[in-house]
Amino acid sequence: MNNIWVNHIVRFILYIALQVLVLKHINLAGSNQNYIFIMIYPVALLTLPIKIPQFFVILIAFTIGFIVDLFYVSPGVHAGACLWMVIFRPLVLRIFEPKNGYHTDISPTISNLGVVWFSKYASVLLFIFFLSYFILEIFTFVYAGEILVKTILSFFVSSIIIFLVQLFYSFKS
Amino acid sequence: MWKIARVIVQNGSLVLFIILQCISLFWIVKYNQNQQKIYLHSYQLMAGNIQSRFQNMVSYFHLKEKYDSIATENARILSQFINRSQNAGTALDSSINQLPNQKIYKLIPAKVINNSLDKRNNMITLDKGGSDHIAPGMGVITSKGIVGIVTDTSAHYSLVMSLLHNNTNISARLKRCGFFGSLVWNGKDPSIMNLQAIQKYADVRLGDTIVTSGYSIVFPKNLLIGFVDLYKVEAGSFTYKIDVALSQSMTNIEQVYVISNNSLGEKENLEKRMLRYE
Repeated sequence: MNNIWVNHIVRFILYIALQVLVLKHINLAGSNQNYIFIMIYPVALLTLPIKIPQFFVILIAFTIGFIVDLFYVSPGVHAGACLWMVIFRPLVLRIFEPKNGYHTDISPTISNLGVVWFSKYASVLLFIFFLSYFILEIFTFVYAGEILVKTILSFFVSSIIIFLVQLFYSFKS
Repeated sequence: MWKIARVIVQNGSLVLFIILQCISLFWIVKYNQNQQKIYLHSYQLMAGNIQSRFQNMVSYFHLKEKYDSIATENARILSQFINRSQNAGTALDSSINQLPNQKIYKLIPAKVINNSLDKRNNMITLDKGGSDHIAPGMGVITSKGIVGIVTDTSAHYSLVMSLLHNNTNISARLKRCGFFGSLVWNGKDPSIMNLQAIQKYADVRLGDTIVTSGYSIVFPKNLLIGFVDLYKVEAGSFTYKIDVALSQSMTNIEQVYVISNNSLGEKENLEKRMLRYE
């Protein structure tokens, strides 16, 4: 039990560190007009164990979003996006529930539930995350086109990276 | 205690989500400059819109007060104008003698609340009366012409004998040549009155302006009445028969001014004594 929590906490710290120390500084466009923002730390929230009460998931999401915000100097933006993502997590879990249900003790990862299942599950929630993130960041629907372009591009690039990382994890374990 | 915590954990996730979402939104608009600007801008747009709508709505409630204040202001300006034109001829005298008993006309704004045109003797009802210092014998005018004479007042209403009345007999003058006669109504057309007793050697032309003569205390002199519409001399008569087109149509009067005069009654009382000598 203790071991699992330590495991999760270490994972969170690693993801956040990777996000704010490395990925934050990556600018694929090389200019100010950057449309691709790579964010992989949401996957730490996606792979939380299924049995954790939603109440704690929300608290954890808010905390992680807040920590990332501190490094991005954008108080509230990441936190709000994380909250929007996890509020839909139970719904998406219910929609994609396998015929014989979930094993209560597992995390929704590739090694536990398969590549196809995970790709459906993660892409829906990640899209929600990026959409809400860019809405909160740009904060006006005057630039709805910009919001959509940034959402879609960032979503694709980040998803690919997240899949690779997850695949790597699943092979390792 | 644990039970409460468990209930909160099981059911409070939506509430927690809303609270945390509000906190993050608050942080966004509080600590992010771009978002703050957008927020403030939208807020001002919205607030300004709401405020202007509200002001628009409220201004309807004050429409009557505004109307009244404008009417009062109009009355003041009009009375100044009349007083100046009345006393213009005596300016020299007054500067020498500092006459304290100059005629001072004061105008009281009032609104027509009842009017008739189709009877032989037409009367008008005004919404102000004795409590606003309106008394019988005062003249009633608009900015475009004359309307009638107050015949009776109650506390808050007054009756006005319209120009379109059998007993109307107003001393009027042809402005260009100075001849004066009396204005009566023949009971047919509410826009036409007759000017009688102009001698036939007067130089009357179509379109001549007709004004009050000032011989009665009711109306100050040189108030516009109308224009000569038609004139002829009937066979065997010594006087013109002049049709006057009223400058203020009696069909659509709303805002009127009652002329009060500081020497009202004095002249009438004096002239009543005239009967003794005739």
